[in-house]
Amino acid sequence: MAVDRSFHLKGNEHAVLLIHGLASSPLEVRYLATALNRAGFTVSVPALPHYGFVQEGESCGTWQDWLEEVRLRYFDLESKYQTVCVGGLSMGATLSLALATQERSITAVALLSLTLAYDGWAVPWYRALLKAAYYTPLRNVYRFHEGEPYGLKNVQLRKKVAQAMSTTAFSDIGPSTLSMEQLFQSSKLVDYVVSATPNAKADLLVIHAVDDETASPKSAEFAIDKAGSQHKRKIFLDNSYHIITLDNERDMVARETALFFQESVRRRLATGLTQGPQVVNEQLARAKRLAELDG
Amino acid sequence: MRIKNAKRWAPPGSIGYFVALGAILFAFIIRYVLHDALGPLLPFATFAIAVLLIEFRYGMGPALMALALSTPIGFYFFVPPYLTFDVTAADLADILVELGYSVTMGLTIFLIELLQRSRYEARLHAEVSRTRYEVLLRSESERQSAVTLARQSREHFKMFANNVGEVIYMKRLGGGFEYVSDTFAKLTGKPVESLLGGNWLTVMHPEDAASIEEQIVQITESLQPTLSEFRLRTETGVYVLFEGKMSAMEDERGLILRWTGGLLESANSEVVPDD
Repeated sequence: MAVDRSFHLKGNEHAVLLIHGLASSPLEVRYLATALNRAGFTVSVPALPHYGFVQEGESCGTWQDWLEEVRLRYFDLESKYQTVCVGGLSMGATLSLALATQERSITAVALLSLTLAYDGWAVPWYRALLKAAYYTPLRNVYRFHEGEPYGLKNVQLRKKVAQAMSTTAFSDIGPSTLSMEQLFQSSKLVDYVVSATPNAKADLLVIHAVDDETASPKSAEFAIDKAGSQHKRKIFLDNSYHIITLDNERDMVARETALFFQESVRRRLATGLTQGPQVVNEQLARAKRLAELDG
Repeated sequence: MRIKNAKRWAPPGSIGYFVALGAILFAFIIRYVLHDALGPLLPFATFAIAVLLIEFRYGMGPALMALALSTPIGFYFFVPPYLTFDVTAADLADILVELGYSVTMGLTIFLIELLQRSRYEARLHAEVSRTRYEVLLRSESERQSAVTLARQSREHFKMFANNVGEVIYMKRLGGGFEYVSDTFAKLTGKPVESLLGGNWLTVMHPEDAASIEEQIVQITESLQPTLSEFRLRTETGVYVLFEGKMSAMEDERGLILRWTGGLLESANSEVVPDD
């Protein structure tokens, strides 16, 4: 039976929902979660059943299932806290952006190593062919193996992860392999997000390493260019790879994320006292949806 | 520092390859239309322009594909004898033109690719610099806010400390007094500055001074705040009995920063005339 690694850090009346990477676990955003909690926020990092780590042979569901799992956690926080910010790492950032395109009440979104394409420098050339290979019998046998540098520029941390991956199927940064189904569903999620990004209106923070070996900075640039947010901030790092929440610049990532969320919350509190009819209608629809989910 | 993602400067996806196919088709049509006027002259001219534009906009992959397609197409249609791939039937000069096209374009693609990667790398470096500058500005802004808050907090503290009957003080670790509230000066009639360091012992009754210093040492060693009584000489020249207390002020890690405490006139206070 899989270990539930989700955690909830109690803070003030402003909450943050953090989403980890695909098939990974809350461990990879623990440092960020703790920093946000120290800054005052209540932080929730759920372990999502389909999107998170699944055993070989288990179904990972569809990208819509993943989004619903995130939405459920978001509704739960939204019903209890004054404001809710959402953040995610890697495919978790893609999910966060997907949620932000649909939920107008989100105060701010932090996209950390946003992955809209697997086009980083370490991605093998045949990675682009895997989407097509999904339609062949290969989908049942092939698994994409995680390899050096494991998203980490920090050599000591990388050694630790490599050791963990060589002995178990899992490490702090996620699983050692990804199934074709997971890759396919993530590419469908990306397709949706690419088309829907202009609908995202929440304050937007994008943090990306210029040498991200999994997703090049083009994903970050796309989000900044296309999102409909009024307040956007882009931060490029030069001493990290993909897992920026654990790598060399994790302190800067945590500090800047906390700072941005605090600014957004202040802005929301200052301007969000009056709600237009559209927001009220959205809230009514959301209440109905919550009732359906509970039922 | 080299940025490995600099090689990802071109637009991602397969669009570049489709555009390259379209560009080669377009170049072929133009050259074909001009064929009657040009004859065997410049058989690869339109293809060369297409390949260069593709490389400039979409990168090496689509450009190499365009070059690989255009070389046999140009040879077949526009190098005499036409409509054949027979190299032995062609003039040496024509074959050299063909080879020159392939080699020159290959080299040009390579050089443009290098330039584009350098340009993109420079842009990413500029983005990182901008980020650092903004982070620095935010940090400086935070620092200034913290300084302002600390100053306000200090002012508030002084205001409270100077308006209560109790004397408030702060003492350095292993050192003299760094702060004594104005109440002490009012009481003793001496300016606050003259009481800092170890000077305040001069206003203490000589019989109490030695035992107080000893008690301070005991408190700093045991970390237990204790109460003690001693006599201080007031502005009017009489000694008044005071109760003093001292406790440690710690940071979030439990490290002792300084000692702090207060002096309050004892309920059993009795005025003792100066000898």
